[in-house]
Amino acid sequence: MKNEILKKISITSLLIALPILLFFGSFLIGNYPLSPLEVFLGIVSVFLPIKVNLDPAVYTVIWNIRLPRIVAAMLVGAALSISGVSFQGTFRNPLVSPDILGVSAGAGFGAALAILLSASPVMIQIAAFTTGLIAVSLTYFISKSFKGDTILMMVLGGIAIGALFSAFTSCIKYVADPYDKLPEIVYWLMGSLSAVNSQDVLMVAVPMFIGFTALLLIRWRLNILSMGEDEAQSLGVDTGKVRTIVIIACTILTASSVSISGIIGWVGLVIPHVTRMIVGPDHKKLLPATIAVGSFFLLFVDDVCRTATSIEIPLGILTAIIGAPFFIYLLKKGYEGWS
Amino acid sequence: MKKILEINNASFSYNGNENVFEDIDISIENSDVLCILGPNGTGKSTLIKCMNGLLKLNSGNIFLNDEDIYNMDKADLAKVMGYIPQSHHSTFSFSVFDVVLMGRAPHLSLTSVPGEKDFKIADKAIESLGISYLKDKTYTEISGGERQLVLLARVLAQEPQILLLDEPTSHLDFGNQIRTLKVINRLSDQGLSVVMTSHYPDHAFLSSNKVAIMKNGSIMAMGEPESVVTEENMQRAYGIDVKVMDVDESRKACIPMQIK
Repeated sequence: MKNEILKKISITSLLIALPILLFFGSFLIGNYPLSPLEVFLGIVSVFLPIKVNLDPAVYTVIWNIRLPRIVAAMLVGAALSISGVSFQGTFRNPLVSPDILGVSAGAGFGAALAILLSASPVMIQIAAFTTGLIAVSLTYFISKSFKGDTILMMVLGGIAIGALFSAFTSCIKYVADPYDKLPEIVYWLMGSLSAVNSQDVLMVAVPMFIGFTALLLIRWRLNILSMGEDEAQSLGVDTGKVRTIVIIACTILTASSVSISGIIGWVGLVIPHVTRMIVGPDHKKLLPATIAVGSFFLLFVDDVCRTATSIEIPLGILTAIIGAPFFIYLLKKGYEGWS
Repeated sequence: MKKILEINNASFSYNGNENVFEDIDISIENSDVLCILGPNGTGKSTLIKCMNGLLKLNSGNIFLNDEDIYNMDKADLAKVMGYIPQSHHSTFSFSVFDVVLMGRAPHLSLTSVPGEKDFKIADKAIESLGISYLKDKTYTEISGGERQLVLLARVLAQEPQILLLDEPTSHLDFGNQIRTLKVINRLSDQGLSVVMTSHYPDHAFLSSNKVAIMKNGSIMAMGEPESVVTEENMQRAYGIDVKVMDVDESRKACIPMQIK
């Protein structure tokens, strides 16, 4: 009994400590090397009236280059992971994620369209949200219109809707100016955080905050929703209302992620499973824990992307290279968290 | 005796022209145990779902403590009425305690999580069914009989006045069937009312004070088990010959005739 409590406490402290350590550690690595002391002084001297003799370039690197990128990686990782786990709970389907339900492809199309039309960053986000919501609604209604195995129909419907929106995106690429817009759209669709600046981060911070808060507030109800429609209703849960809140919150989070980082696959599918292995399936603990694991994971992968080779590796490529084999491993293992 | 559930003139149809059942009148008082018998596909489960508001009647009324259930909030309904479906499937491997805790949902607001008081009520429900040893086990890994008891614990954590049990004894072995009926009897002694469906006429003798036989969408006979579960009624309902006889002074049994 004592050991178990000890184990729980140490898991919780690791889940809190590791992302924070990595957050500070990530300032140290990159093309412009910084020492821990420089990072410490560079951050502290902005808030405290102390005199330090630092190169102005240090400030620029810390505040304008590394901080926005680190925060963006953590936000996107957390947003995709919490969306994945919430989708899996509401649809009682361990095989869904923002990418599989077509949300990412839908949001990607909206954003690509907005880029093509040279829309403002806010419009890119709104377009991504709208088409993302259309995509997930279509997937949901397709799976509802079939009787029988809804888990399978939802996955297949999501694949079809995702393919449809990817085709629309291809149309946009086809008509885009090959010297100007096309490279922008292609590079952004690959999923990357290399162009993120502080305005981008500030712009998605508000909608993301709303999405995170909504999901965290209703997280315990996801347990009940995952038991099925009739049972949840007989336990007094307004299933339609809870499901709508979840879908909208997840779509806001996914669309915000897509609009600053492009399509980053696999995070929303794999991180929920990894976290469920660590803290169990109770959504009360699972949702906060996926935020920790997701933000840690994507920040770590992005650090690798920007430092492993002399040219930057697009983030979406690396998450797929890590995520796909890992998911196959989970399936193979017959992971007992779901059946 | 106070009437808790009253169903008047209830009819239901999935497609609007063919009724699954019609003209059903049932009333349940405190501590009543009503057992609904009847052949497959006669609408027993549908009727249970209508009582719970999961399906809406095409005509007729259902009153819970004199209040029309269609005017009631879902959470308020769930505070008075608990339901265990015939079969169910948990996608995720929750612990038994987490499953029982779900019974507290109607008492908690949309944005709250269960607290100390809810943990205590869930613990009490688990203890009252003698399954404390299951508390930390994984719900998807325990046996069918144990799962039935866990669902009963969950419905007790809901603190309702009436339980709707859709075939609580199906998928259970002989011993677990009787143990489940024993639990039902004990709950009824404590003042809970129970409506259950069953495929075993004997279960009516063992645990009910009221029996209804449904056939072709209406109630063929209703009343005390001794007067309803008769050789003649069983022949009419199921089309088989049975013998109803006394086991001892207080209890009868219903046994199929030789079929060789």
